[in-house]
Amino acid sequence: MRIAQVENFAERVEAVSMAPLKKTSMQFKVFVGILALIVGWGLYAYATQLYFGLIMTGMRDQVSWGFYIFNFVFWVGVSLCGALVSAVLRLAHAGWRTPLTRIAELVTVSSLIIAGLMITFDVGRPDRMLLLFIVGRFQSPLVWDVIGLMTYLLGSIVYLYLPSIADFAIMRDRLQKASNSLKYKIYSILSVGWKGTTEQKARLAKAARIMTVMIIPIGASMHTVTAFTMAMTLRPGWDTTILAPNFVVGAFFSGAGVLLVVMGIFRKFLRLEEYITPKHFRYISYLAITLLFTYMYFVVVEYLTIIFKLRLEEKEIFTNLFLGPAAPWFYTFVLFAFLLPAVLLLWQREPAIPRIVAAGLLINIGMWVKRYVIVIPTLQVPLMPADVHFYTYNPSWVELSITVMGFALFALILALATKALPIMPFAELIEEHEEKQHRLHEETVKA
Amino acid sequence: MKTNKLKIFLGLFVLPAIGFLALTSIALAQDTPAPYTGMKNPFKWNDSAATRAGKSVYLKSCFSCHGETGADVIDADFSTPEFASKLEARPDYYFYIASEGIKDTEMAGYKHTVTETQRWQVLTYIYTLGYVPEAAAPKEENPNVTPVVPPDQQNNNVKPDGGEGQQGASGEIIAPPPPPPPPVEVKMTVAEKAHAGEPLPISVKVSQGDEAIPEVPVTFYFRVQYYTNSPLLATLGEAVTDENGIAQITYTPKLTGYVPIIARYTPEGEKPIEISSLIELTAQHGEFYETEVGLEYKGFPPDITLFPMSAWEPREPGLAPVTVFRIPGGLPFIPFAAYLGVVILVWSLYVTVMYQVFRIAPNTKAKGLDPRLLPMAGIGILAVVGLAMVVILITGPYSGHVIRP
Repeated sequence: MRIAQVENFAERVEAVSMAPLKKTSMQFKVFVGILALIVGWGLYAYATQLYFGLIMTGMRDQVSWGFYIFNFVFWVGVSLCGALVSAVLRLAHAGWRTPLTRIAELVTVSSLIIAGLMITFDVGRPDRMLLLFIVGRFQSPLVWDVIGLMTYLLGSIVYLYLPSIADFAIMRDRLQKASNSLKYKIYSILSVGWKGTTEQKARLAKAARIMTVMIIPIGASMHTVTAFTMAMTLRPGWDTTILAPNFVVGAFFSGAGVLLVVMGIFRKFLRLEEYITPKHFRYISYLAITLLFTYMYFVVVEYLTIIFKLRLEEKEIFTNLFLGPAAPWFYTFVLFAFLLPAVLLLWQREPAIPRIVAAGLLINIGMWVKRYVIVIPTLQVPLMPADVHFYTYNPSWVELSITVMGFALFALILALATKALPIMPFAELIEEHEEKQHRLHEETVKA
Repeated sequence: MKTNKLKIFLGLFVLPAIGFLALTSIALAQDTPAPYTGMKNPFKWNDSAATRAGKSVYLKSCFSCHGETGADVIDADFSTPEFASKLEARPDYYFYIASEGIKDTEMAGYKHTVTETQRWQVLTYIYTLGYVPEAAAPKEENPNVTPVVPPDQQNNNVKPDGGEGQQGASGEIIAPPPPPPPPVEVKMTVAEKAHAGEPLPISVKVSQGDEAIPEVPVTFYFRVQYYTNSPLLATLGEAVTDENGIAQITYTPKLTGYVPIIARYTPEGEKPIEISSLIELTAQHGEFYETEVGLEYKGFPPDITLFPMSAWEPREPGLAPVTVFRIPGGLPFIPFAAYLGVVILVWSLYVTVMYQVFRIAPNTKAKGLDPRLLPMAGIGILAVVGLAMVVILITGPYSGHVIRP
């Protein structure tokens, strides 16, 4: 009885995880087609920008950081999702997180790729990015940002790869009959001869342990150095020591929000209902609500300490933010990132999943708006006595197209990844299920 | 019926509304609102006293954007005759702009900082920037040029100086061409090493052959080094040569490093002649101009900068400076070393993790494929990128300044 149950579970979970790799539905093709069109339009916008120069954007002398930079900060913020689920929850021995780890790590890797692209778009002359490597000064926060991004991106790729070795091994074994096909060769290379021996398991566990412990401070330091590109200046709104912790907590918060949305989408379209249950959503929603209040605390503390003293230049920025042209953005942020998700997450009515996924979506919108609020009103503060009004920033169609392209490319990478990797670490799930069954059997035997 | 009503509607309301809007927008674009309407310049446009007074106000308030000739702001180019005639035609409109500014541009209003009289004086001065007099004054005779005497008026019996006469075809004596004058030489005398903060005499001798050239101006510069290494020349001063052809200035350097000092003499009507010397400036402890920002740090460990001597040479504008090996000394060494240590640690751990994967792979070739391919490639990539990160941190652009411990 028990063995049959295990085998059924193992077959089921493997079938579900591998289904996208075996068949491609029409729905998927249409979805990817639309995303590809949006990405294509974004690339056309970028080509226009490359040809005519950054004059095609809305950035000018005063507001010289715009949509690209705050999108970069947003995507870097999203990337802490993987560290949260894969690393933090793994260290806490939260066994329920296993179905989510692959999704979370994929989100991390894709968002870091988009973040790197956003910076490339902002630079204008991409060939000059090489100069950051050739003549970068160690004193420069931008150099720290580059080092942080490279470190975190490669670390996340390694961390995505390690748990997939076992899955690739099973996929290779299933293809033994077609042992000359390209797929078999690829899976053989990717699974590095994994046979599940004790020694191999010990080595993988050691490697995974090192990465789990490391990826959290690496992720936190990535957000810290992103914050330092702003906090190391003397601009109002940026020249605050709390900016780096703000970014880290905000990133965890964003990450939880994105995770909820992506979980909801994958669960529905890939039929993962048995594995990603309402319990998972509820647990992640507890994390999200905790992070919501933590982030709210940080934001309130930051603003309160500045507003209480109100230096002249900070008076300008807060006038802009609370009463001026940037006010719609600020109040949208408060509503979408704090008020509405708090209501949705605290008022626990069934059904849980639509409510929680909606909260996740609102959190994302709110945090995206918050990145605008961080980056642009600071640059709008007038610098010369003769300037009596805030500098204006009107994003152009190029920036808006590339912003939308960022989201489309993120979804596209995730969609295409389901065709390359199994969406759940089913080898690990099978193993955990076996252990659980074994424990249950032991207990019934004892009783 | 309906078309008639439509025509009436268009005729009575829409067309006049459009016309009114068009006319008002044209009018508003050029209208001078009260109380500026109809104001006239109390000064004459060629009043030299008003022009002088206006120039001093212009230099204080307008020069930074509009420039010396008034041509720096493209939309308001004062240096054209068209602008001067527009100014003369509608002084009230330009007085309004100077007083109130232009909305949504960087032109501010000056009614609170510049008095009314001064604003009119500035406009009078601005008029002279664009004004071109119609008839050119006749040129004065240049007393240095001797009038050429046609040859048939020369006295044929007089031999010309400095050469032997030759009998020309018509019996006239044609002077041989005089030998070319010796080239003008400019020589600089200055110490090769000096301390910043101490006065440094620089002298330049201007001579032509054996003769010294007195009473000519020589301008002194030094080349400023910034990160872009553009060859900017900063003026040190001007001196006039004395009867021995020597021009001297004293320069108190306020920076350290290898600084080229340049002297330039422009003979009349010819290209300027430059001479430069490289001076090594080091800090004289205690007397040097020090910035007040940041923590004072000295001593151990010493700053290490390794660069080729060619790094100080100016490069073409637009080229990045030379990359040199550089490790800071003193107090900044601590955070630098900590950061470098963390980067090395993290990337070593990445390589260790990949090495674990390498050891997972068995040492056999399954079906012609080496299972160790991926881990080896992974180790290679991670090692290379990690090294690149370390190299970024320990190198930097040559900045021309010695970092003082």
